[in-house]
Amino acid sequence: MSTVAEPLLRVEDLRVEFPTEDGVLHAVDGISYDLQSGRTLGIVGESGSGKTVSSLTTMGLTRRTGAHISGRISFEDRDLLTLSEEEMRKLRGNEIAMIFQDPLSSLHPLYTVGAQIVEAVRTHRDVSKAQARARTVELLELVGIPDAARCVGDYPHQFSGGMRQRAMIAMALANEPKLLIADEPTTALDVTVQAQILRLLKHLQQELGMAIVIVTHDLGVVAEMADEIAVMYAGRIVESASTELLLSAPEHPYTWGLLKSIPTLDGPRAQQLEPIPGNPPSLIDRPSGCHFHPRCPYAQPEHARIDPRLETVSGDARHVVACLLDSEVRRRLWRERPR
Amino acid sequence: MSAGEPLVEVRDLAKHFPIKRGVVFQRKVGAVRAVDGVSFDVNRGETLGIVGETGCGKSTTARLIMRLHDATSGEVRFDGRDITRMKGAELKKVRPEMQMIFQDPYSSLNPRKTVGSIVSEPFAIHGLYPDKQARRRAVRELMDTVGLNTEHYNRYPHEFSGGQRQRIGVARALALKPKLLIADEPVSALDVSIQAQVLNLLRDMQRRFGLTVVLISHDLSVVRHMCDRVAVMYSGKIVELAPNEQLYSHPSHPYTRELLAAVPRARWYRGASVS
Amino acid sequence: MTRYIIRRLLWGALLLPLVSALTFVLFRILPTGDPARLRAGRSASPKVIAELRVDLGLNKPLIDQFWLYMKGIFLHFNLGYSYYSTAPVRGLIADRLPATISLTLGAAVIWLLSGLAVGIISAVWRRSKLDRAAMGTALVLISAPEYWLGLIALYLFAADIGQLKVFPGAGSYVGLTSDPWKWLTSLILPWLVLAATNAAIYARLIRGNLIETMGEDYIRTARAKGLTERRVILRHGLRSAINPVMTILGLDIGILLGGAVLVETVFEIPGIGRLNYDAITHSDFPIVQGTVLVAALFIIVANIVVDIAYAYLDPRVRFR
Repeated sequence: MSTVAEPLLRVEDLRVEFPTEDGVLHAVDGISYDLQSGRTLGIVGESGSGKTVSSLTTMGLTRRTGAHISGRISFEDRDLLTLSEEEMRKLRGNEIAMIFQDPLSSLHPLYTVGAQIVEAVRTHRDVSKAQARARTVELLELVGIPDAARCVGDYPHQFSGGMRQRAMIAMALANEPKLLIADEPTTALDVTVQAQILRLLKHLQQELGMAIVIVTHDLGVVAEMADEIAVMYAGRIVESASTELLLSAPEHPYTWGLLKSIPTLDGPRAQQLEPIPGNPPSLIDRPSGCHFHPRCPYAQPEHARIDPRLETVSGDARHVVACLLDSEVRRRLWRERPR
Repeated sequence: MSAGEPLVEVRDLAKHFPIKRGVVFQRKVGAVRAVDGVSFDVNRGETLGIVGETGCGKSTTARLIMRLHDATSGEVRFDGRDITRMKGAELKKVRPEMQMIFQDPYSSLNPRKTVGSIVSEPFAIHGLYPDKQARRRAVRELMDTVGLNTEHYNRYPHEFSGGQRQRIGVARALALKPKLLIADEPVSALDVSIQAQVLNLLRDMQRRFGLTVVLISHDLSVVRHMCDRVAVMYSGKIVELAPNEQLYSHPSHPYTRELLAAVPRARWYRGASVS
Repeated sequence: MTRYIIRRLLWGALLLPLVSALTFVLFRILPTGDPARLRAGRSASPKVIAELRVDLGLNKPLIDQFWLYMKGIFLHFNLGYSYYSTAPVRGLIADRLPATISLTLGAAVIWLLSGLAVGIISAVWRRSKLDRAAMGTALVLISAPEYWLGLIALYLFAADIGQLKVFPGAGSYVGLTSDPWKWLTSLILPWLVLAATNAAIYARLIRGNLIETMGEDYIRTARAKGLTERRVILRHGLRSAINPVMTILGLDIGILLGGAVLVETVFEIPGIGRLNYDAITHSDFPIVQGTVLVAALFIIVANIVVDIAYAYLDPRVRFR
């Protein structure tokens, strides 16, 4: 009997391409990761990294956009990419749920919050309106909305930003999903509200035992929330490791760049931030070889020709890096970096 | 210009937006106190940060200083002059000395104008460089200063990335050689790796042109990195104003402490080993 | 919300007398000739004309005339008497109103339903051949003049003169109460003609609105909840897209209730539009004045209804 549980979600070599007028857009270029129940994976990347497209594809929401999708997404041993639209629809909002960045635009402005949550419940459960309504109030209380019974009849624009996001979370949890995908859930919120929402998510995860994928550009958020972090760049995962390891001993120059370019609240106030030079690459016309090489301070001429593969770093089987530099060289560079 | 003396003096500044009720005739029944009596100085050559959450009044304060709004009460002095109620030609003379850059690089540039046209517009408005050649040269110089390729003079905003558009905004702001630069959330809409580029640019420009900068942001880390002194705003009032070191290491107001505690971070920095 | 409604009603109440006054002024200023003379007919003697002037109160000062006029409208609902037939204008209009209402409401139902159907299909299968064909046809229908469409319809389908004798021809309208079947069949062609242009406009409008709405974030959320695509389109997409259409519908109906002159003329339907047209040709000004007032009333009421309805349709408007 295996002591390691099967992962709830396993993505294998996922590729998503969009045909456009200017050429094929490689949004997701062969990513693989897995996630256990009750754990949190943070996917970090900037715009154009492919993080949002990959999470939308897990929900099956890129199917009708003309995208070419290949690879495998196993959810509890079923390959989501092979399911019919109807089968996929039964999973959405049910066993797999998603919350989005801007709760004001993501909730329908013309229906009450209560009505929208009731709809979420009744789509997947055969219950009466009254039962659904009772469940809705229960959910709103669960996410910490005061005076829930009255708020049920309010419209989204009557809620504050934080309350709206809580309502969205309530709606996503309506049918007790096993997997919650959160796409930039706190980016549009104030700092104090951000903290509350993250605390809420952590608490709910413990209570309901769900797995969470949190997609964001904010390293601080994943540092707090995630058990493991995958860093994406130009459609690929360039580094992935447990949170502790990624933040203390990262081995990819892009990860270093991210860490060095962010001002922080702790430690000495840096004289000058070290930005990553250049701009994020076009996903249609990607740099050859290692996609990061034009912006990498340590790039060698042959890096423009060879495609790096994800390789494990010695010492931890779950720490993988896609970099052509020698591991010893990388570690030395990180150790000897100027502070 | 003597360093250290205030360039901007704000005293009891307030801006109220009236709430009207009534069936036929609308009576004022109350007011939204966007800015509710703030006082502070901005010293020459320093970078002052104004931090706060949504609705605290930081952007409105900036706009009041820039005279984009009329104050309900209070006083704004710029370079020794009272500009609170200035109008017309008199105000126009002051405007070149204070400039602003905005948050959203996608909506703050006129999409129908070329970069060259956008950056040279301040010249046209204030009647500088009537000679076309001289104007083009001045614009090219500015583009170069902010790190833009001068060959892109005739390109349109949509052909640039977010970070480059912010650079265009900076170039436009610097065209008239202002004394004061107000940056309203200049990097919030940008990718993380680009944010650092733009922040460094602002630092460079300040040093090069001896600017006084007011930086408005909700991001405490950015403000910590950039600013000499920091004002924390809540509900239209300043709850704490202190030098950088002091505010971040020994915040005195409970709200400041709450803000600092809320910033998500683990016990890490720059990859030092985790405790 | 009640404040909102009261405010709208008050404005309406203010507008009505204003429009009436304006009508009075307009008709006194117009170079129409002497009402007494028009009333008397061509071969009347100056004495008769002078007597008529007194009868009609035209010798009184303008202010008195105005006051009598306004009192007449608002206290007695008296809109005057036709020069041509001496019949009370109020009665004439009341007789003609049912026909106009039948015509307008029937056409409205047809154009709304067809506009919705075509608009939704075009939006969902945007850029398909079906969409292109539909929008092309819509363009043609919008450009075609109503009377031309009416004449073509009669030429093709009228029982008396048409190629395919399907529907009753012009002049066959009867009231609903006298012969329901004939009422219905006689209105089908006029309905289709009147609805054609509007259906095309609404189809394009709904298509555009729905395409825009379907790109909104809350549609993505709806799909993420696991709703069927049909529900997403109809209950989430269309619900938002339809708001501006409802307001326009109200206004269009309000305007048409004042008389769809061209269609009524081509099909010889005894409605207000026809009444107005005949009155103009005979210089029968009390009738014209009366129909203008009635039309204005309908439009004001339509505006009020539409404003109030919008507050129900879009809760964000209520909390101003």
